[in-house]
Amino acid sequence: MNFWMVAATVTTCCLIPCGVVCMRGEPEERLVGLEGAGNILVIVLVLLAEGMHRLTFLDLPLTLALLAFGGGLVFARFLERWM
Amino acid sequence: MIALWVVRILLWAGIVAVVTGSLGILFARTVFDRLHYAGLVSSVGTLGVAAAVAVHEGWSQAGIKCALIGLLILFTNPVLTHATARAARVRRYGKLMPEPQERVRFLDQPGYVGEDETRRVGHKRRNPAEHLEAEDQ
Repeated sequence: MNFWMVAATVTTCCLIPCGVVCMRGEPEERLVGLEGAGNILVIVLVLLAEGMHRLTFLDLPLTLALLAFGGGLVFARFLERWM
Repeated sequence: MIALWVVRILLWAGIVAVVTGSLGILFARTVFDRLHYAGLVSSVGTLGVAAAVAVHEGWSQAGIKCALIGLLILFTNPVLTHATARAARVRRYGKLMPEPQERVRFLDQPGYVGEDETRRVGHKRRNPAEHLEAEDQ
């Protein structure tokens, strides 16, 4: 287990607080938890790809970063206008 | 050897930022405080880890992809944070513009701290009262 995998394990544990925030509170607070979880997941995917020497998998965090941005914007506009 | 230590320092700086930010998201009181900690995760955390992998891999396809991930998140997350804060404010107060009792001083109102500099560069922001009247009409 190299230090990339250790870092990936520590970062994965950081998804738990974001998950807790996603499950309680007002909808906009849940959205903040979702955005934080998306960012942490990008970091986890980068670390896993590096730790397992599968560098072609770096396409996944790149795609997730793009899609999380679009999804967060859609959620924010939806909460602002229609909920 | 030096590059390895640079990689480790960048990596653990990013990990510390992620841990701090995620705990801050959990324990912050308001949605705006939570957004501050989410910004810490997205800026320092992602940039630190992406820079660590980019330094480790060097000028290769993987290094370029990591630099791209860091730059992408660096430029898109402020937009997302702004949109979320705007949505939270509209949901809580019913509108985006501040109430008079909130004592927000605009650039074209007397008493604003940077008034002279503002006039010198010619920047002028719309008066909120006019904006509300226009909405009512």
